Amino acid sequence: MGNGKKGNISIAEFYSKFGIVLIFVILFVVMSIINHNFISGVNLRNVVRQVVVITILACGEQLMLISGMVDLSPGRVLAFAGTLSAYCMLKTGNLFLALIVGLACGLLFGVINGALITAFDIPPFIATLASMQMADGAIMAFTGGQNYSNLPASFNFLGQGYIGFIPFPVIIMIIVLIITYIILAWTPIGRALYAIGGNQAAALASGIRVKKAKFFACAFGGVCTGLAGILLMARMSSGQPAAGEGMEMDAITAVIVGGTSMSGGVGNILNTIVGSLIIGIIKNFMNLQNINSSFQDIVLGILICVAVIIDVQVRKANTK
Amino acid sequence: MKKKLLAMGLAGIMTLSIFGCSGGSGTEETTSDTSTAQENTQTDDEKESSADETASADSGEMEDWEKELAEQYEVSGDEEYVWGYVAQSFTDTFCSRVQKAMEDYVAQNFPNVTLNVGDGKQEVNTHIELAENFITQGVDCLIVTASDSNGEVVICDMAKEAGIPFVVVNSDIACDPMDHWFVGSDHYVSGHLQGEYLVENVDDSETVNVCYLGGTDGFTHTTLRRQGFYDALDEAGYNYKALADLEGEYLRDRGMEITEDWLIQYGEDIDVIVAANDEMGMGALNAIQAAGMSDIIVCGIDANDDAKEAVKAGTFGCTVFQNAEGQGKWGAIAAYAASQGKDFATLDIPYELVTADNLDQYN
Repeated sequence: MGNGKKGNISIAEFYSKFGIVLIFVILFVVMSIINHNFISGVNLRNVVRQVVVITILACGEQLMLISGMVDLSPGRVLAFAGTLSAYCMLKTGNLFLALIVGLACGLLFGVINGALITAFDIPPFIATLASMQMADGAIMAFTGGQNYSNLPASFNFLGQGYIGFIPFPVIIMIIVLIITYIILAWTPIGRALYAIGGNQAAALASGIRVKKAKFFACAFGGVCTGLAGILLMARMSSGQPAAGEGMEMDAITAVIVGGTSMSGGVGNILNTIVGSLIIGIIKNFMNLQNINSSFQDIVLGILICVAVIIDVQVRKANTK
Repeated sequence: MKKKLLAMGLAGIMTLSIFGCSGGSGTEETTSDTSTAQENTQTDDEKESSADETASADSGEMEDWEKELAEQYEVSGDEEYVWGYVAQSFTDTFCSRVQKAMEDYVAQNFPNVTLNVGDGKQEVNTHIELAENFITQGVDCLIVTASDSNGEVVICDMAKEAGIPFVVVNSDIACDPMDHWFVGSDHYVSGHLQGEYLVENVDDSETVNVCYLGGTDGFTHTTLRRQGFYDALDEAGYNYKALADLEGEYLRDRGMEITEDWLIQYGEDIDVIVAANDEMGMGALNAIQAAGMSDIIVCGIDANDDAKEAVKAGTFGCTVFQNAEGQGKWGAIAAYAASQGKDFATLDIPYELVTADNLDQYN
């Protein structure tokens, strides 16, 4: 790993630019050879649709991880926001209101996370663990474990509809990705987040408004979570309190596999897309091959290890 | 690893609720005996007053399996007892129905019994604490709806040591069967019923291609449901082929995702998708409908509201009903027998197959 190519481009740069894409391409080719159904158009469309929720969550996690934070709450907040939205849709029949309620619920938890982290200096891991517990309790208290079905077609369209050949949720996902890209690449807050993740003390010293940027990241993650919750419930035509459990881990995996460092400062959303697609094709391929999800978890675990090992090694080599 | 650990910790409530009360969230009152006991003045064949109202209510409503049990146990009585009931949780829909059925039945038929109920909050620890409290109070009988079959073995030991009869309702605890009463349903049967449905309703002159959506691995009932299903097919010599068998974790979105992938891999070849609960079955149905297909038969377990609607609409082949009211009622009867010092026994509350033919009984 230590002996890279000489020249202008460092190994770290090379990996962060192409490494993950290379892994994706290799996996893709191998899977296509083993299972010819894999490359059918409908299947690839399925894969993209299946990763929508994780990818949108990953957008939120991307901002968190880049600034050296992490969010454990999305899995449960997503269920709460989505179920609340479905409930609202059922009771009022007003799609607009349902959307607002779902997004507001996500935002609320984002704001709680942000407040805990910035105003009270609670470590993000603990703050979001706490809010996850709150969301979990809230959803059980609210629903009593019951689900809300028979949602109208207008709501279900959000998760199941098509515009031409493209699934509607995929379009939403692309919009969220574009917004995330713009925030990270072109706005002062995006640059602040990188600076904070790289060295918080230095960022603070150079006049960056650390708390404001962190708070924004949390709130943005909350909205992403709310949106993901609505799309997931709409996809199932049902508000499901038990859904989404553990999805934050898939989202974090996507971000990490995409080369974002757990310690912050490094990462980009384009690679995260590839990361979540890798998770998507692995799960999809294993379902096609009738391999149980226990093994999917093992493979994903190995993938995380490999991604982080490479990341660390590359970083070491790069600092020499 | 991290994912597994966290998932295990974080998934606590969900999985516990699956284990503790694998009954889904149907809320309809069924043709249960508790409701008839309350509305005993109806123009049924008997008009007796409260003196032997249970006998009358039961003889009118009792199903065959109940009659046999009723010969062995007193279904009403006047003895004074105090019972402690550790409910699985107050929020779980299915368990709440069990609890309500028990409370109603006790109030009607064991008027001198005081039933104290504690909210177990789906936590093993809370269950143990509540059980300790009841034992300290010296109740005549301890009743528990368990959250975890292994985690609560300690309650068995405590009750045994204190010499207090112990009744487990809904989900069994992994202690010696001779140490406690068990009132609940045999998960093996629920899977078996799904198999029987296929044998009787799906023509196997050509090989029937079956895909199975299993529940979360690691739970006893997941294994039993799967085993019961395949056993029923094998026993009948059914001509089938298991195309695929994957873990859907009892979740609708997992069931949906897996079915989408199956439709890609096997497409029109799939004849039947059998799921270990209705949620996964509904997920499969969503995927099938989204793909514009309609000739795949889907089966589930739980008799949830939307599954029953799907059975009505003909998009679901069958679901299986778990009798919450029966569990509550017979839980009370078992507790009464236990308080009288009768020998430990297991009371099986049968699962019932729900198809288009008998759907009316479950609404």
